[in-house]
Amino acid sequence: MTPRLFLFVFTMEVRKMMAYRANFWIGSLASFLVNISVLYFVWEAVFRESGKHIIGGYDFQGIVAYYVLVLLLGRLVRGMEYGSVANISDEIYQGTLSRYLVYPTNYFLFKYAGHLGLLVPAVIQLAVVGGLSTTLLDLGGILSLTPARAAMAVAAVLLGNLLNFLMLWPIHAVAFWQDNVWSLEVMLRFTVSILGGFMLPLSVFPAWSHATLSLLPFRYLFGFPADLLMGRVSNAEWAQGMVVCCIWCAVFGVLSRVVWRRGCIQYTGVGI
Amino acid sequence: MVRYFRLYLCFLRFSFSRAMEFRFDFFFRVAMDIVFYAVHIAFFRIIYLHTGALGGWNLDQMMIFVAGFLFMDALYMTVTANNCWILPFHINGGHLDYYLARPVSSLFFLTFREFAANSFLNLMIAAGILAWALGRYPGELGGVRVSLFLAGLIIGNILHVLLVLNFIIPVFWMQSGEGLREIFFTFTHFSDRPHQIYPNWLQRVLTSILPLALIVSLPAHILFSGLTWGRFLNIAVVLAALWSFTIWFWRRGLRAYSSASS
Repeated sequence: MTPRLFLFVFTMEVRKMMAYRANFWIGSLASFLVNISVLYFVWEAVFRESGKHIIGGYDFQGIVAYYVLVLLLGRLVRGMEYGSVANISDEIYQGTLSRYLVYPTNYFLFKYAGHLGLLVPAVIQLAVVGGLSTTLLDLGGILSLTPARAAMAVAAVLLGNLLNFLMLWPIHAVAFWQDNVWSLEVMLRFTVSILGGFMLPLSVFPAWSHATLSLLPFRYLFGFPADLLMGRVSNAEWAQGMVVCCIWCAVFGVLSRVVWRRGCIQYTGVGI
Repeated sequence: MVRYFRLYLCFLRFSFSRAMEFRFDFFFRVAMDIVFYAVHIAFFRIIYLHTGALGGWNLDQMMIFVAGFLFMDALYMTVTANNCWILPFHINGGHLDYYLARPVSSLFFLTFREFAANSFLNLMIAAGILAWALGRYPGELGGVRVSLFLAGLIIGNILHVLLVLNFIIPVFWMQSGEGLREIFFTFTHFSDRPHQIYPNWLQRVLTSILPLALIVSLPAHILFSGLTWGRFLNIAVVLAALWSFTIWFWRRGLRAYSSASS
């Protein structure tokens, strides 16, 4: 795939996402406000009723900052679920995948270019909502935003985004055999939400589970980039985390390739 | 009434035969909901590692609340969710004609036509979790309070469906219902947690204008603290008002409906 085509697909996806701006902004802001409100009140009650000032290494303001980061960075990582590239399984099921197979380009890269395009609106949201939240909730002192940290976080988010894409790919490829893969995708989303640190910071999990959680791929989607920006991950831990994340990317990359090839062999082009 | 009951039995028969045609999807859905149940239970069990109470409830009480929420969700997914999901497409695509021509209530037909047989097993599992949570409760709950709680969950389910419909009906005047559906789905996060944790002004909103707290949280409150006249009137008035408004709103929507590509 040529860089020019890659860029074209990338910008096309951005334009599609921003076509209905009111819908996009109202939906995103409502989702952010409701989620952060619910989490705020849950943790306010936990801190108040437990009488503790530190839970899982966070004070109350720290945990609010963690959720703000997780909600915003989560959009960067999960881009695929909100855009048109989420219809890979539909294209297989309907038989419209055929047109891509005859294009003189790689289908995987074609979809990945669109997937990356979805990051642009999420970056705009991150800047606007993140800036407002930091000011209104007075979270500035909690974030560790040095240029080096920001660069490390960008690398972690991009790798997390790729990992998320690679985890979803074999699930969509199941459509070569089954008519509906929606439930598999939702199952993954639930699993990632709890084990990735989206619903709860991983440090509040029982101590015996911490080592296992850091070896699983899910942490690198949410908890890891958020903790990085809060200065809770050292340089050595970042490097180690990136290696683990790369290994998982390789594992899911190989799995995606195997499943896709086997699926393509039996693909008839007329839909199931 | 008998006619509607027989019609519903036909809906059940068709739904089960259709579900059996896609067996893998059937099992995927069962697995998906088991993961959903595990995630919700795990969330609160982990929270309670750090506190003895949340919203004034201990872990045993919270497990009953969570089980009630899971049961309510399974009931919605089994009985009405598929119908509510497809309804905006029927309206936008002009497919309502078929239903409007039937000699039964169009709202009944459209809300109950498809019974999600593949979620029925999940409903049984959720009912089992609810029975387990009630059975392991160390205190004395009493048959009357448990009955009131279960009745409250059924009423909560009706309220939930009415709320969903009110977020769908504007599709009669709009191009797409997706945005409103997303917003409603977002709001439902308020009902996943006990309403006592919210500030007073938000509790008032969640028990009146947007009665998400009446779906599970208030029935659970009644189970632990008893039914007062205030709580009874709260539920009765909101149910009557929302029911009447939904019927009125639906009829207004039908008047705006102009068949194909409405």
